[in-house]
Amino acid sequence: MRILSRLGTMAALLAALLVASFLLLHLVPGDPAVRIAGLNATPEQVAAVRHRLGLDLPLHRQFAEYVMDGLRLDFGRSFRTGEPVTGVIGGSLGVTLRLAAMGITLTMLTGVALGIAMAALTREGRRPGVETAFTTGTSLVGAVPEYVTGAVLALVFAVGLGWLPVAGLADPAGLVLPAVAVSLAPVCVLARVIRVETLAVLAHDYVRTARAKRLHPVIVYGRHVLPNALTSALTVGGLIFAGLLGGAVVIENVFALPGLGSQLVQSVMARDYPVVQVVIMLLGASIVVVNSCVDGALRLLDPRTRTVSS
Amino acid sequence: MTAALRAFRSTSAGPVALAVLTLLAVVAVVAPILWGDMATALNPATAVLGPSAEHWLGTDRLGRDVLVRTLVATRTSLGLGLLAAAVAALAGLLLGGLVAVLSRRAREVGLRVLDAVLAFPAILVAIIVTLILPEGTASAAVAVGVAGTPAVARIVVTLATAVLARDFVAAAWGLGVGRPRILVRYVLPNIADSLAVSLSVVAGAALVVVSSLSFLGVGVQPPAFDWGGMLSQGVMDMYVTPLAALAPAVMIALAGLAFGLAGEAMARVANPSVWTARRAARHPAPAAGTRTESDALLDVKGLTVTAGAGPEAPAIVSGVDLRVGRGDIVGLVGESGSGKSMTMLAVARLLPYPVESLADALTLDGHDLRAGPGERIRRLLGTRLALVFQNPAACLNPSLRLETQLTEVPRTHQGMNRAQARELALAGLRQVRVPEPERRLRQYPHELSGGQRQRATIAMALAGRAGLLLADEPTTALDNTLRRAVLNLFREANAASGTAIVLVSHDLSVVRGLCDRVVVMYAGRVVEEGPTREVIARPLHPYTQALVGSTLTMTTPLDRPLPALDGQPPRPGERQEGCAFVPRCARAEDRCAKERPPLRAHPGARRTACWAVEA
Ligand code: SF4
Repeated sequence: MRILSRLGTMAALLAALLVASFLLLHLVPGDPAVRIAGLNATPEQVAAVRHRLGLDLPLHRQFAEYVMDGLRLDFGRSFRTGEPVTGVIGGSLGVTLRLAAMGITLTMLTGVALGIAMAALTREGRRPGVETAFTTGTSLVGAVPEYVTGAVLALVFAVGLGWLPVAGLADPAGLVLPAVAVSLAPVCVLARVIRVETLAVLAHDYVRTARAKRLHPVIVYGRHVLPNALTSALTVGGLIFAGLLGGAVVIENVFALPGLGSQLVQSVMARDYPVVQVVIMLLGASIVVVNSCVDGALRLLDPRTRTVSS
Repeated sequence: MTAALRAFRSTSAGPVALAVLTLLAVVAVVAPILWGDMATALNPATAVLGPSAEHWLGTDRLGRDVLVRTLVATRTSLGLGLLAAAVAALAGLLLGGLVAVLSRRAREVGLRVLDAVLAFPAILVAIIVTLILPEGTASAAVAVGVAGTPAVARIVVTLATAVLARDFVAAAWGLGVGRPRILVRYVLPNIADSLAVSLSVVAGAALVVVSSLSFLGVGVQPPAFDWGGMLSQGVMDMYVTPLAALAPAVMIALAGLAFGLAGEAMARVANPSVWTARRAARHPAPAAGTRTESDALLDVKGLTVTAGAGPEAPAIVSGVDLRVGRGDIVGLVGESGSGKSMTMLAVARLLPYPVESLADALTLDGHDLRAGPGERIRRLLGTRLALVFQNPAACLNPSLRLETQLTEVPRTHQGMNRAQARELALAGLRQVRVPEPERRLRQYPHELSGGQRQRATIAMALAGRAGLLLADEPTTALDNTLRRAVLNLFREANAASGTAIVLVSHDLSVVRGLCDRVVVMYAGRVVEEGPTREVIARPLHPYTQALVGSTLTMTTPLDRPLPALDGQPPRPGERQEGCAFVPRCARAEDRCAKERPPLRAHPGARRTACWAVEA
């Protein structure tokens, strides 16, 4: 029942995305056919474009065509190059997802470890100096936008020290700096969330009980605290992934990575609507799918909901 | 020192942020007037120079001074950020207000739509929106404003819903005041403060996103320029003129941060309680004493517990002696704040930070517990001492199976393997009569009934064959049936394995049902102790008399001042030289306020601390 309603929400969101990307072309001010044919096109040329793109059909027919073409993975041709959109986009999705996956892995590992360590150090108000340094430091670093971080990282590690490549994907290490740049701010946010959550977990009687059992601190934290803290990490995980994807779109342009972000920006500047539509669909769908997966994973992981459903 | 640091930070971040914002505003107004031409004049002769006295940050590819350009760009960057924030604020307020006054059903739907939109990063939405706006500099700001609208609307709904639920607004609804009027007259004034705080944060974010758009090339278009545009140029020439990238980068970060900090500072002023300085300083643990020989299972002498360290730290417990023999059941009673729970936690070496304890003697099974947290002490406490807290069920970790939790102690401290520990856990569960123990071990706490959880907790506490069970108000949160069941379990454990029990409670009726001996505490000191039956039948100390008098009914809430007594017990730090009970005592004499009555022995193995009781 629950799962059905989740799937329903996911389907509704994907459908909304489809409609939104379809309407994009019609929300653009002016006649899209004129925009596409160019301002100095003759009326005949404009009419030809209109007919070729099906823009002379009623709106609902156009939408039906749009959906049917989409199902056949035929997204039309790029206005810029005349190539099929599928070819233009090609490997971009992979680049962006790879960057986002590296970023989210880095964020989760570092953020959770840092948050728990900080909670352990500052529990019950211990070491207020460390706490002040941590909260100040994370709020400073967390506020710096990822492309600024990216530019600074590139300056230091690629230009200054020459350790890593500045741009492009020629070298597999080329993803390292971009991944660090997109994760730095989310790490700060996540570490703060995890610290607060862990402090709350530490205050529970079951943790006092675990300490009263005189278990080794590693066991107290690893077995009794970590699973509960991980749940909260996962809860914000969907949001962080979406943020990372947004960051990736920008950071790809800093490091000249041929991902969806670069593709999106180029197509927006060239008003290449078919490509924009597909990029929106892809990015939006990844967010919707990841959020639904996080929801499902939370349900699976939380023993309280797991057995209720079985 | 650290408290001072905090106070400093909490008062300084706001002014510093405001100062930075003011400075930026001045630069935004003045810089284009002073250097507007200089910032755009091309001069191939001065291209790509390093920093010099003439060009502090060097020049860019087209020979323009980087510092001057950065300063001049302040107007565009700041202006567009504020414009975007204004658009987001206005549209968000309208949209949020609309959703807030909808019927509950419709509001739920509205919120779900808002949340769905919020799942998409603002930068993505902004990029898309630029497509459907006419090209132009202001369009970038409007696009960012549109992208920020759902976030503001969400905040408005949250704030407004809280206000709408208040009585005076409900009354206005009832009187038939229209929705727009309610929004403007009742809701808006009440959320203005919190909204201003959020908007400052939104402005910072908007500035950053507008810069991102320019950075990507879909925002401010040349020849106009802002920091984002400069940064994108700078990044291209990073090898040649790194400062041309760094300067705008620093400005974007600085401005974004200043808005955010200003918002946080405003929030702090609005809600100071969150930022109240906590006390600091932790002092070394008391030095380990010599090994004391004692035939008692637990022997505590002269225990003092203070809230913090040092001579001025207020004492929560002063000079408490407590002896528990093997198989004894001792009750520790007193009102809330009498120090009974702290005494127990001091014995278990689990005092919360920054509470400290000192004792002349503190031994369990003849081992000195004051000697730091070594492996031996850890094992001793882990196996010989068990704790049950106020709500026994909360002692179970919700995300671990019972088996893990019930076998931890024997496996960690008694070197048992999994099968042995499992057998022990099963025996423990059987002993407390949990049905189907094998199945229970595979289950999570929430799958058990409340009663089973209580039993499982006690089984867990006893799993290591504890010699001493410390139970802190174990029945307070329970209904009468469960209360009786838990007390029975304690009694059985005591009879079956000779487990000694210290039962901390504010409820004399519970103590009467279980304990052989009772220790009465008041304001951190023992005021009376003796065999339970006699103490309750014939209390000596005036405080015990009041306590006994008021517990004739089972349901009396004893965490409130006793009905038979006026006034409150003194708080730690307020305690006087003489008897702490003076202000509430009907039998107080002159001497009571000056000299503290010592704990003196009385016939029948009893002791009490009161001048009015003849020795
Ligand atoms: S010592 Fe004095 S004040 Fe204290 S309880 Fe006894 S009579 Fe009352």
